[in-house]
Amino acid sequence: MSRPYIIEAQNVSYTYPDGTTALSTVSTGIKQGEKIAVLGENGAGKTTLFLHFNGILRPASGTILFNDKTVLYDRRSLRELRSKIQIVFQDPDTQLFSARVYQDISFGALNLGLPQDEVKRRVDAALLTVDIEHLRDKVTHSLSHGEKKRVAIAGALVMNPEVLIIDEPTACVDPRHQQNLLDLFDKLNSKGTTILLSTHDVELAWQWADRLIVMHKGTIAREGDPYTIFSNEHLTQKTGLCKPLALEVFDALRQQTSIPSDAAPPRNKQTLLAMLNKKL
Amino acid sequence: MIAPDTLAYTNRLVKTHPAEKCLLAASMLCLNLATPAVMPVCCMIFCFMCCLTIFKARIPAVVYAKLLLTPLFFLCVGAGTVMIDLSADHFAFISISSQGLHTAIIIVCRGLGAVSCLLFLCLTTPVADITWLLAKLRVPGLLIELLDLTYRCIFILADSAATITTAQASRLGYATMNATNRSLGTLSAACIIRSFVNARLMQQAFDSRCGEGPMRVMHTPCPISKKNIIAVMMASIIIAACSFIG
Ligand SMILES: Nc1ncnc2c1ncn2[C@@H]1O[C@H](COP(=O)(O)OP(=O)(O)O)[C@@H](O)[C@H]1O
Ligand SMILES: [Mg+2]
Repeated sequence: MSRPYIIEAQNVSYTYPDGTTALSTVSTGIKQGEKIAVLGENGAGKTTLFLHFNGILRPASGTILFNDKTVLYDRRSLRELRSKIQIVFQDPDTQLFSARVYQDISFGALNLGLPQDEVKRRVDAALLTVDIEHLRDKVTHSLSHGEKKRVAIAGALVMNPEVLIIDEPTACVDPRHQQNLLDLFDKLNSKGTTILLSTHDVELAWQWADRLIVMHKGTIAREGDPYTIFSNEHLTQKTGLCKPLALEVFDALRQQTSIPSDAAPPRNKQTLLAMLNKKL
Repeated sequence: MIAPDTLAYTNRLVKTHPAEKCLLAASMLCLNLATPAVMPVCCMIFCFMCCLTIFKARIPAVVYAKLLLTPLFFLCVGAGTVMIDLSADHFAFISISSQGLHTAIIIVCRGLGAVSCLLFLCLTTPVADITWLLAKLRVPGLLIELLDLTYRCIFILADSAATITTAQASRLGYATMNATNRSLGTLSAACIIRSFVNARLMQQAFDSRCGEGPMRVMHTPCPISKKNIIAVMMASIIIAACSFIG
């Protein structure tokens, strides 16, 4: 892991104006090409951390580094930061402020000052990537929640971000659309976009992420690869995470049957089933 | 009932250039308000706009009639008040003067004519097109943004108001008179608080997408049709001529 961090938080603390301390001395970072899930209960500080990553919030103490340089909060630096790091917010309704889908998606690209043809090209590409070409002429407020979510993602993609941060992408989304979204994130990631998402769904984190950051009460409780994190009973208990089902079954199997100790733990239902079929 | 807003996006005239529709509505509105021959001309305008909306734009007649009911109600109340003459020195205490009747008819005619022009515009032209046109007409960006955001927020607010009302009703919030008063109070308070929260979240999303200064969005307008412009002019001239003849 010698790659440098794209964006890094060093000892960041933040207190909201009403006195709630949402982050206390948080240090963590994101590297090029990663698939990271930030896990934590409601109110753990996930959203607050994300808002620091693209300069919406400014740390009370500590620093945010972008490509190893301290983030400055003047207009030009923020613009550069935000053109590389895009957030898709939890509630798509507050993110889509134009009346029509096409208009809303073009918003960010026009703000970058790109020429019209380039904007058009990017909007079309984003519509295609997110698979919502059929929605291009629709009115924003008539869309379903899942569709709004996709439009919001397309609106972020037109900026061609290096890092796409998605806050609670699967909240209020049914299982099939959840899977579609995860597939979309994988597709984006395979094209080189770094993906950071927050969730409180351990199954999703276990199935999807390469690396986990576990947040608890405004601090980073632990970060690391999913297997190590979920095998740490003390940690999962303290932070209120339960073990993913596939891992739980795998551990139980390992104690009773002779699964080789170097066998990789199953990341999803299919692998677990295949493993069971082989054993029983 | 289908929301009028949805119709604005799905009617047959949606692909017509917004400038043509605005020009038609505006010129008819001016004629409607300026004509000295109120009865015939306003009725003509009303029928013309009505037919255009129902047959050309294919807005369902039932929906149109329902939309017409509300302004019609207010018009009738207004006209009724003007018509009735309250005085003690007549034989009857309440009477209808011919002068009053005349004014009432004028009010109803002008009112209906104006309503038909506005309904035509509202039902055939999406708000996004109107704001685009306003921008072309060099209306200050701030006003246009306000219009656009207000429009967008109406739906968000209406959504949360509906959700809150349901939640209140399911906990018997509207079971008694007292409870109703209390519920309506909390409902409006909740809506105001929500508006503030939403405003903050929207600002965050706006900043996050490098929004600064005017809100820029893409718009792909359809070409202006000369034929339509000429048709609009002809219609206006014919109606203006009728005003003078009548
Ligand atoms: N605008 C705000 N004003 C005051 N407190 C806030 C605000 N936003 C979040 N908080 C508080 O900060 C803490 C962290 O919130 P958040 O970052 O939204 O957590 P998460 O996204 O993990 O659920 C919570 O205790 C929350 O109540
Ligand atoms: Mg959150």
